[in-house]
Amino acid sequence: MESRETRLIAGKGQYADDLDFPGMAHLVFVGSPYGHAKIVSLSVEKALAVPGVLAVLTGEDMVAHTNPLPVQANFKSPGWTWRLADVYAMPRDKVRWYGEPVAAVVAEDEITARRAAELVEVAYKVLEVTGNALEALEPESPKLYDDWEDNKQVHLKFDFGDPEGAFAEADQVMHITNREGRVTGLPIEARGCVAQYDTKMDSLEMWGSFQTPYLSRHNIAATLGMPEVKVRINAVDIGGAFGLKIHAWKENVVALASKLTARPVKWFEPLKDFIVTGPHQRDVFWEGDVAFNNDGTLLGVKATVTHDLGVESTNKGIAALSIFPACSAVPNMYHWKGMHIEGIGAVTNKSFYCAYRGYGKDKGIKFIEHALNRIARKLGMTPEAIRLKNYIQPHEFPYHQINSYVYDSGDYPGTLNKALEMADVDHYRAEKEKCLEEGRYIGIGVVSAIEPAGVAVPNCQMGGITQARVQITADGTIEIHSDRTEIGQGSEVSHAIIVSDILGCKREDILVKRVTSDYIGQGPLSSRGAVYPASAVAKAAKMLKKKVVTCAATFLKAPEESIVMEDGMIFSIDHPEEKLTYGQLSEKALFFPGPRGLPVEMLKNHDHLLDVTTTWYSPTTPESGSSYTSFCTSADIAVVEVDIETGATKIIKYVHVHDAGTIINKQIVDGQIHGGIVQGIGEALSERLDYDTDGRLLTTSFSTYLIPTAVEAPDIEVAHLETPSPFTETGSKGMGEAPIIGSKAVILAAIEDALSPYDIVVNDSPASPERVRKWVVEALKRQEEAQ
Amino acid sequence: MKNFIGSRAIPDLVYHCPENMEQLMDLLGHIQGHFKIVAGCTDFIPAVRGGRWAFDDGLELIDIKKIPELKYVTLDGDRIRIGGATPLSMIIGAPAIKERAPGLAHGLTTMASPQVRNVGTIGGNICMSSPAADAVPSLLVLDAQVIINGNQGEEKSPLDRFFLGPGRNIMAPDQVLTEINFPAPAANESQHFQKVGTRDAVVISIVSAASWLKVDNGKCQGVRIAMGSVAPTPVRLPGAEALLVGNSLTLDAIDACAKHASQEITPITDLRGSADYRRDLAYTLTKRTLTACMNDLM
Repeated sequence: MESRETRLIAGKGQYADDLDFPGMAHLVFVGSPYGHAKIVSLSVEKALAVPGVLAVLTGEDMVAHTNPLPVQANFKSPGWTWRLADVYAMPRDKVRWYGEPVAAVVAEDEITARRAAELVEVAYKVLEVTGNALEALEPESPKLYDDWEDNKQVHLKFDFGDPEGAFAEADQVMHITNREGRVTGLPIEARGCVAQYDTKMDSLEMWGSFQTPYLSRHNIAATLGMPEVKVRINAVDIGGAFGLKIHAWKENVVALASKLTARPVKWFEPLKDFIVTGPHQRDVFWEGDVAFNNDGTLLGVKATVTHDLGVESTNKGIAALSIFPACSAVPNMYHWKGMHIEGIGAVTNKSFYCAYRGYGKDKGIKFIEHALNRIARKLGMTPEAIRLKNYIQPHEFPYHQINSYVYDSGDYPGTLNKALEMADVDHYRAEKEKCLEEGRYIGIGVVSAIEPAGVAVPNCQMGGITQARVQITADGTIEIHSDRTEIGQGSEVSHAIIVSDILGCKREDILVKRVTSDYIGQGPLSSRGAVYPASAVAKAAKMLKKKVVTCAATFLKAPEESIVMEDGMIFSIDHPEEKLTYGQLSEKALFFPGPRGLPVEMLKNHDHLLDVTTTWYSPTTPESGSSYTSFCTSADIAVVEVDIETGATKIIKYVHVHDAGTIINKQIVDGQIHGGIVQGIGEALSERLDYDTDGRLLTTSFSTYLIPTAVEAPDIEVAHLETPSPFTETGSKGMGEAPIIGSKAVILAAIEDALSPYDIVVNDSPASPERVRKWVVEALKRQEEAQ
Repeated sequence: MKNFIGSRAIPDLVYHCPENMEQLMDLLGHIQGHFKIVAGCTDFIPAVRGGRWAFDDGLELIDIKKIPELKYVTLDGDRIRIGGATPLSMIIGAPAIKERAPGLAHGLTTMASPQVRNVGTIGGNICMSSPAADAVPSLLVLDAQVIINGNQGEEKSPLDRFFLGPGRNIMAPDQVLTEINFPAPAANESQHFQKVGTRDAVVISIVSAASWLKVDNGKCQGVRIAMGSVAPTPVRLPGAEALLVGNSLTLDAIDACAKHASQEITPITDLRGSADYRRDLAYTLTKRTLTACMNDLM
């Protein structure tokens, strides 16, 4: 069978915008031009009068025909704050962020819908804007949600280990502040779908760029007030997701439009909509103290991280949920005595917060890696020395970290040492000194990270649900079902590899089916693909293998233990000349002679079909409460040159060493690493979502929201260690997020190292040329004043 | 205020793509109603979709990209002549530019992406009259002249008198920029261009700067300095130039000239950069481009 890659290269991709149904109408959203305003009046008459316009939906329709958006995460714990806002897919009375949809125009074609969208008349009464999290928490700040006491959505407090003891025995304490700017991810394809409401069956089917069809079905059904069994969601080819497509929000409006117009309705958003009304991330302020001893031994952290969440997420609670991993990731891969971490989330007049590669675990790691580099500098240690001193050692696994995470396996010193060797840091350190004499500023950044993967947390829709099915059909071809959508991360090929390796069948005889809501699971998010779905698929394949062996032993009249399966053939090692293809075996098992030819026990156990559906759950989570099952490791080393006169940074060398356990497919892993690193570089140097004081987003397109191009992407040297995870079926670990964590942190660390003669702290991102130059100018002024 | 719409509809257009100058002139002579001349559409489409430009249905769009008489790069005696609809990539690759005006070629390679440079034209970049037009500072310091044609006949103008403000220039709507020409730099002349953006490629400059020097016996016989994104139009900096011309070229002299340049401009603070940063960059880029020219010649 044609591989996915061949199909896509041949132009046979079927992405959301390729969907075309007979009688299909098109939907375009009309957004608010204000960051915060009351809707005084809304008139759709002129838009409706445009020939070809079928309907204009507004917030009134949402209230009349739908429920408020459902809750995806809900935590109530004494001493914690956790608030959820009662919001609909479109508002009726008040807009809370620039671009927030207030109407949706449905027309015969997209151009007509776009033209009519201009004619929807909305009168607004502009309200004062709450522009950032720190302002939002001020007592007099304008409130976003009238029924809330203030703008604080979340306040979590964690005590890990013995924080007081850690600080009591510390030689030194360093105060650290760190800020990350607001960013978004940019899949090549924005969001889009087609909804088809069947008025005779009262059922709804949707096709589109859905990262998590099963969750989307639940949430769309809940919003529309439909029985879930009447809703089916189908993922089509997806042009990237990065977590940004796990939610169902505008999709609810598309579904309602189909129901109200009795037509298939398509919505496909321009990238500008994606940036302006899409999920945002980062935008955090860290402030805290790190306790350590003079020999570099790390002891404890007391810190608070404040998140600018924007408006309540379209997945209610899912933004707030990301504060858990932000707080819990601080220990990273080191020994600690104790920590007290608080996570605060404030709502502001910005687009909503949702998942984006890293989700939150990135934030804690970036904070502590920044702190480690500063401590090392203060103590006169190299960045690698402080890490090597504090790493959890290979013999300590499984390691119970102070935050209840159970680290599965790894070789942290080995990973970093390999990176140091590849990067030839001694050479670059010598080069740095030499260049300084010429007035050139070279910096070497060193960071390392673990990547918590395979999320399973209570009280939310990310609890660790997954299902997989492997079936051998009557002609011997094999189909695989799971919840792991193919979002460009290679889930199809990796599942095919897993199954072909276990069953000994030919890879080209396997079809990994597109994901639909028919199979239970939270989909590929939080790097769970190689943990949960891959384990479920592997487990199903192993169970199926037992059946194949029993059938083959029967048909070949050979002992089960003699059965060999390889290269698509099944035979007994005792009679290798007598071979069955999978097609022959399956035909015998199903039809000729069929089940009656199988062992009696198999039939009595109802175990006669070559078809297994199963599930998988982490072996460590139930008892330890560890929210993650596997922890891959990475070490990043970057060498940069900073032009102190312009502030521009050039990456001279980039090394990434990665340990994702057993590698299923190296090309896929390398692809994830390259992509993640480049995204992290964008965050470090140029990407920023900037709002003006009226709450309008200024960076709304590729000319202002500056992601790296091929020109800015460095040559990335990658190497792998393979320390299998003892806790997954394949030994592989979830991966894909460590590269974006490490690359952002390491570029900033390298800039700080380059600017060390000026004693500049690089604790804000992006480190854009202007910001870097500003730091230099301020440092020069400080130096001048000191003389 | 207008509704936020991620992408606005392109109006119903009457699209004309004349094959030669005769067809163009004929079209301009007869056309009724509202029309707009474009040369490649690399600015037109994003401007309309993004809502910066709005046109009514029925707009007559005249795309001059196919006119062969407007696509050339020649060395005509001591003058380099470039047709108004010449794609940027064609200019970069032209032997006359590579050999006689490598600074211009370098400047053009910093613009947009290869794909856009294959479609976008030099005339389009000039006629858009953006303060940030990256082709313009180099052309200004090369003392370029533009030729404008229309049914009222041909006009010539020095490029430094062409721009009137952001997006505004001396051309009437029914005129076409047919040629840009400039004296081919001699052996004792050099020109350099540099820009700074928030990233390296496909980026609008925060500041762009070009310098041209003519040196004889260590003395500056001629100097031109021009910048983009520091004023309502791309500008020459005569005050800074006056500090150098006729004097011995030294790093100190260049430094003083660059300092003056940073004060001569009138930058604003916008999304791409603050006024202070722009002055700072103006100093650095003036110093660097002048030094590069000096190093070529001394």
